[in-house]
Amino acid sequence: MTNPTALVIEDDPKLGVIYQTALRQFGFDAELDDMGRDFRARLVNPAPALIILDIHLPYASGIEILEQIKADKAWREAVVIVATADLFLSKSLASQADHVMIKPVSVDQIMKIVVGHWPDQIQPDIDSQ
Amino acid sequence: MQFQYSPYVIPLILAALISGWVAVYSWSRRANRGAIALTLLAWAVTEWSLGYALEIAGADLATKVFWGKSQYLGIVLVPLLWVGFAFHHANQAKWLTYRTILPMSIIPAVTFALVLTTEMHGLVWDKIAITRTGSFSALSVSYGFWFWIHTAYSYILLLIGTVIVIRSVGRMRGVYRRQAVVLLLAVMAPWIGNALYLSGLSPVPDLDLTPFAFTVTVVSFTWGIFGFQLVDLSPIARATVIDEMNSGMIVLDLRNRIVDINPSALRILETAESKVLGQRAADILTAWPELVEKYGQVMEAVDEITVGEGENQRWFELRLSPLHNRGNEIAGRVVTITDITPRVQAETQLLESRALYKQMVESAGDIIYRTDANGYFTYANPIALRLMGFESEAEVLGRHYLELAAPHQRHDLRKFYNRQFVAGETNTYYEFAAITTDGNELWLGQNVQILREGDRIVGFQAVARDITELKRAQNALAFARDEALEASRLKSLLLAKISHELRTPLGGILGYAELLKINAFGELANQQKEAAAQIVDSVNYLTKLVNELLDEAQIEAKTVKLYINSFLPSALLQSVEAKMTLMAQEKGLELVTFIDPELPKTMYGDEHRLHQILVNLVANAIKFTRTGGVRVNFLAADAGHWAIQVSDTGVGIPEEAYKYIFEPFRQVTIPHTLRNRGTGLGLSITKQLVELMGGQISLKSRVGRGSTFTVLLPIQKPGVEAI
Repeated sequence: MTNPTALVIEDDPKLGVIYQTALRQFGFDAELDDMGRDFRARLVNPAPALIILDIHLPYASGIEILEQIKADKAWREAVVIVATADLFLSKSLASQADHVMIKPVSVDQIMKIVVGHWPDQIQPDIDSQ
Repeated sequence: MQFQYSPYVIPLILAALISGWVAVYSWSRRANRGAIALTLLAWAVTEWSLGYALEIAGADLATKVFWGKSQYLGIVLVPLLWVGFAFHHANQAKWLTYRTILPMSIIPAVTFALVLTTEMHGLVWDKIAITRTGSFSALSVSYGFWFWIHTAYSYILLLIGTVIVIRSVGRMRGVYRRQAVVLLLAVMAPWIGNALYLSGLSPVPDLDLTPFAFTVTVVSFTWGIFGFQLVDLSPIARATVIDEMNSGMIVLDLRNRIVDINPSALRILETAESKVLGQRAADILTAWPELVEKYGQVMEAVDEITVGEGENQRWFELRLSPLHNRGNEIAGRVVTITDITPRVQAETQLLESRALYKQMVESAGDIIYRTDANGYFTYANPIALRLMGFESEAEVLGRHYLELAAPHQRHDLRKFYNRQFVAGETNTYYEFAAITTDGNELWLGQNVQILREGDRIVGFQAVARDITELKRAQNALAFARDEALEASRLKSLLLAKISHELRTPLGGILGYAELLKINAFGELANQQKEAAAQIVDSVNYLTKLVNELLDEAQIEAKTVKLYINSFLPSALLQSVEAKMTLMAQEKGLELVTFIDPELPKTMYGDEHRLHQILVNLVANAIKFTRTGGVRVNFLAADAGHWAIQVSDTGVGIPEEAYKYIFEPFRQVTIPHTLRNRGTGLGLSITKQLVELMGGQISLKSRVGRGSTFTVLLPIQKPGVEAI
């Protein structure tokens, strides 16, 4: 059985690595787009099952990316977690994204979302405490 | 009766006609008091003359006797009426009463009665015959005893009258003089006539000249009284005008002797007429020697003199004017003395009150000025001049008030005062900037009062105060307020920016610590895991601080918006309970919730913020409670309100802390709080959110027993946003 795929779109290298590492820990094949620049190239099959999306990106707007994801037949099914430091945007995106998280985003929170969508995904040996 | 012509009749008829005319004329002027007496006298003379004429014309003895007798009516009345007239003319008519007239009339009445019956007793006429001289014929009689009594009596009356008239003539001066001469002629005529008749020097020896003489008398009087148009200056007019006037009047002749004085002057001089007439003014005015010296020879002057001192001080106006006769020669002087004490006292009081007012206005610390109804200055007090930089009042008078106002203020100023003028508003207050002569702004706060004379607005009076310092302070305050608002806005902006910028690095710390904890980077020793957990704990605290700072900043900057949606109170309470139960359990506390069944099942409001309020209050309650529990109630308060009540059995809050516990960054300083670190923003944010929702928060607490926070909120209708 192949692992589900996940995509992290986050320009902050540290946060990008954290999300990627966490998702790999939770059994995802996680890839990182650190600029939002390579997004279009990656928008091919197979679509990722989970996307963590930052809003303020150097080369693209997270909002536009979210719209394209939701417009694409293949990608629309992906679980999108918007992770932002912008409280104002977080309110307006609440209806479009599956989850909106205000930074600092906790690994614990990501794990809870993953468990919510894929109850059997996480290895029982991972101790969240 | 038979008559025959005699040329002697003509002058007598003429005399009768003349005196008859005098009677009619003076009767027509009878409004003057002496005129009636003159009329009667003239009628008597007429009757005498006419009777005498008919006696002479009579052809036989009987006719002559009849007319000779009838003349006596005039003959006996003339001396009597003469005296009466004399008294009137001398303004002594008061002597003429029944008690004086009746006794005086006895002898004339007896005489007339005896004349009519003389044939029986011969007491008047003894032998009666006719004497003829040429064409002249008259009765020739020898006189009886009573005739001489009658004659003597007549002469006495004639003399009395003459003396009275001469005396009154003697008092006349100046303008009266020519009249006096005529009157003297009138008085002398009967005497001359009689003297001629008795001495036999008459051109017609037996003709009695007396009726002619009296004709001359009455004509002279007529001429004297009416002919000179001196009726107004006659003693009668003098009585009414001069005697009754309030001013004292003294007439002096050229030798400064008093020739006339009126009652008011006598009152002022405290003397009697008999003591002063004919006396030298200097002898009478002994009380005022300086006046005599000063005005002894002055013909025309006006002066004010004062007599007495203190309470009794009186003021008089003294007026000297020359008297001219008809020849325009100076005949003497009239001195009038008017008591002007009341006027002087009133003037003095007015001057004193004016002086007081002026002193007050001039020494006032406020600017006081006046303008006319058009706004041109009519007065400015010294402080006004000094503050505006003027050297003298003359520089301001006649200038328009708008000239002194700051140019940018003139329009509003004009509008304001035009409105006051039109509305007739008695008093107004206005603040504006004036420009001093140095070009500086002088802020004035002025009360302006309308000045009226009757219904007419005649000007404005302003009392103004220099409020430049006050204005500066106000401006500084306004500036400071703007600055503070701007600073507050910048602070909020800064906080928002910082909190935003803090979130990313916080994410890094949190994330790596959590990854360490879940062994993402290899198995950790327990101590290392514990260290990672401490890092996560610290980051969570920091994150909370950042969130609250941002809330506080947004509330202060008034950028917090409430998102009103429907929510289920039960669901809200459950989610709070779910979040907080673990925390309560960790401290061994019980968390109990209750929803009033009266409360609507669905309500409207910002659920997220209500959640925040509840979490704040419950977290606080748990934090400050060691044993017991925390209770959360949702209550229906009244038709329009509901309440959230959070009670605990904790340490309680001292009463003196109630007032500052809701202020940001304030915590009650008790040992417990030192161990229970908080941002100090929770209650402040809670209170401000509650108020933003249109509600209020209250606190009841007893130290050691516990606290109850009650949030009273309006029940929102759908679609209505909170303030």
